[in-house]
Amino acid sequence: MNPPALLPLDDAQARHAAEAIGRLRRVLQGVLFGQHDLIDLVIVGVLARGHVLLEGLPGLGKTELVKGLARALDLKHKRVQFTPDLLPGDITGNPVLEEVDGRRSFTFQPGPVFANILLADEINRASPKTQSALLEAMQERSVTVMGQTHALPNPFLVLATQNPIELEGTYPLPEAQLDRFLFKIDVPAASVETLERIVLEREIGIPPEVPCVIDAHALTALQDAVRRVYMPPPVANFIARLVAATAPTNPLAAGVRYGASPRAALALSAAARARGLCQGRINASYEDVRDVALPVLRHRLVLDYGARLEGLTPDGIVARLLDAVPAHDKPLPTSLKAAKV
Amino acid sequence: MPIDTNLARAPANAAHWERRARLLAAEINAGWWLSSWLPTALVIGIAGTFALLWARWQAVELVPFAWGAIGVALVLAGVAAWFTSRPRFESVASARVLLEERLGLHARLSSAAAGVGDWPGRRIDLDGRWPVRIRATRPALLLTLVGAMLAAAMAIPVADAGAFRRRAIEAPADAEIVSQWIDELQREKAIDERSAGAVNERIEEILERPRDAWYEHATLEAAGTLREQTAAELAALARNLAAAEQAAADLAAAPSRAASAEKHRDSQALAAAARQLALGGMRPAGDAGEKLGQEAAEALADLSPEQLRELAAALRANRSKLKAALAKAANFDLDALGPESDCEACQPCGVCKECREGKPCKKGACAACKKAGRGGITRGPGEAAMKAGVEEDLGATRRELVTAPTDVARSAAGELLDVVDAEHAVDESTYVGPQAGGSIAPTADGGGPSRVDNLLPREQDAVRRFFK
Repeated sequence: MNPPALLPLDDAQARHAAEAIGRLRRVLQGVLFGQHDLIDLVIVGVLARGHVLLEGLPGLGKTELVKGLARALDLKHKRVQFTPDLLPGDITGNPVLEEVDGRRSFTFQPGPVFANILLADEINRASPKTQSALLEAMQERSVTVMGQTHALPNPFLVLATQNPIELEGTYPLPEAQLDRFLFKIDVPAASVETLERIVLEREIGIPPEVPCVIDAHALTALQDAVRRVYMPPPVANFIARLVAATAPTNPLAAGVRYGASPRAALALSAAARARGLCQGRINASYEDVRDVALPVLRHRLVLDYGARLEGLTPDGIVARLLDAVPAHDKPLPTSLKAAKV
Repeated sequence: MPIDTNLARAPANAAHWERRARLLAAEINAGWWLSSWLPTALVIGIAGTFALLWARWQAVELVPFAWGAIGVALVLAGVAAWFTSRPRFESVASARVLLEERLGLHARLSSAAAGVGDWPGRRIDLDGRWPVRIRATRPALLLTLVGAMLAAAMAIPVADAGAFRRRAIEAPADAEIVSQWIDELQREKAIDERSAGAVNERIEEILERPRDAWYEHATLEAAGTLREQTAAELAALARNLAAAEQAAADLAAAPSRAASAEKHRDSQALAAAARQLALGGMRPAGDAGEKLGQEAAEALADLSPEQLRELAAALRANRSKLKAALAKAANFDLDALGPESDCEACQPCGVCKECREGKPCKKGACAACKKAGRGGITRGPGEAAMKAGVEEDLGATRRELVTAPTDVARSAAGELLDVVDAEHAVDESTYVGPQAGGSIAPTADGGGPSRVDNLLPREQDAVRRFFK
């Protein structure tokens, strides 16, 4: 039995949602200076119910952004510093032996994963066993301990960070786990103007004031609105062709060993819808897909050894694919020339 | 989860944008059709150029048909191009994608077409933002090239192949003239069929050669020789007819002088003329031929006066037919046939012996009728004393090569004067008429031809092969 069809948004609803998102954006821009694109992508990830992997050098404000996001959304957040000796139970929670009314029994003590926003700091430093403990939580939004499944709070968002330096003793995330992140966002270094503003407006040890602009209920409503953003068939076709173009058999994807999965297409679709709503539109567009393609696809492409030797990066390949795959999938006759968009 | 698209809003501007999308799709499809049709049109243009040139060369009447064929081919190619390019045709939905992407409408047209959201306003500026631009250079160049080729095919001067063919098959003039003579002679029944057939065979033999060899020297020479020989044979026929007629009339007019020397001479003349008529290249037809063929030449003198008169009349009639036929045919010198016996200029004097005996008057004869040789007796072959040169019989003409010194003032008397007590040894039995090339003439004391001046083409080929 097919699920009931969702009602599409109307323009007023989309505008209203965009205004709320705009407020959140402005608040976060006051938390993290000069990182507008990063903030937009994080908001898109939140709205698309996706998990975000942030990669960048220490001190760029990743943790501050997550804290600010939690406060602006009035959500419960937890931070876990991943280390090699971290155990899965340290994240998911452990059964504790308790005596109640003279009887001893195991009581589940929830771990830090039971929060709306989980900041997994330096996730690649934990052992694969611990990393895999996050798999079920990220995908199923539930935790199973001693045969009992415990649902995670809604909304649930994992914001993980990893450090591109000091790779000794780290455990790179396996592709299966990487695929569960909606975005992998490279956190760029701050510009001079941003640094100047930070120096002028911030002090060490004093967190910025962050007002709550959207509560959890409103956030859930916004996430539901994202699902009602219309995905036009030509845009869906564009997403499909873009993902298919990452296949190693495609000449455009030379150097790719493993291409993007159908989950990547779903991620692109969800992210494009969320971005469309951020723009106050009732439908996703080709521009939305192009804007979110890089953070969606870059961690889903596995390059071969030759490509890495040649210095090719997933970012370069995705950029090449975006240039080569047009929204309009049919060629034009030689007597006509496509005007540049 | 799918979005419910059954809640389509009022498509206020739907018609406007759908019209734009259809226009764009039509433009792209026309481009596809054009890119499929143009190469074929170029091929048709090249073929049409040659077809027009061929039609103009072959017959001007074919030119409209060639144009029609070119037009039909272009139309058919257009239809075929439509079918072959159809799989690549742009749909309206696909054109809508191009339009909304170019105009930055964020897939709004596709959404509205699916019933989600309103259509964009009509005031969006399309100037300079149309998704495609026509590259007219290549199609224009190709079409111009095709048009120029077809125009050039009509403008280039082309010779008429019909005229070329007519010129090409025109036989050598002399052969045509001889053929015309024979046709006229056969129509008038002036010569017998065998004689005409022999000449026609020789004409055919000349024309059997390749056409491009018809105007070679050898062929022209052979045709010229044929004409000269035929003319000479006809002239000889006319002379012999006249001589025979004269002799027959003389014999018929003087039956009482049966034993006289004059009758003997007339009998000899009739016999000689009859022999020459029988042996000549051209033989008389009709009554004259039959009557001469019934009796031996020597027996003609024994015919009754009545039969001789009939014979003379038949010979005269044949000569008249001969002359009438050749008068109709062009390029024949009628003077070569000799004067008419019933010449208007010749009036009987009434006092001479011939007039008293009822014979044609010789005194009242005109100058032409008094010419030497009338009567069929010429000096003929053989040696004559006091010749200043060597005579050469060329068939229709005679040529005398002067062997004596021409400068009389410097010549000794002995070189010019020679007194010889001799007689002109004329061999009257020798045939002196024109000789057929390659044929063997009767030999006699006076000497027949031991060589031929002209060879037929096949004979020349044989000689060439021999010496090669």
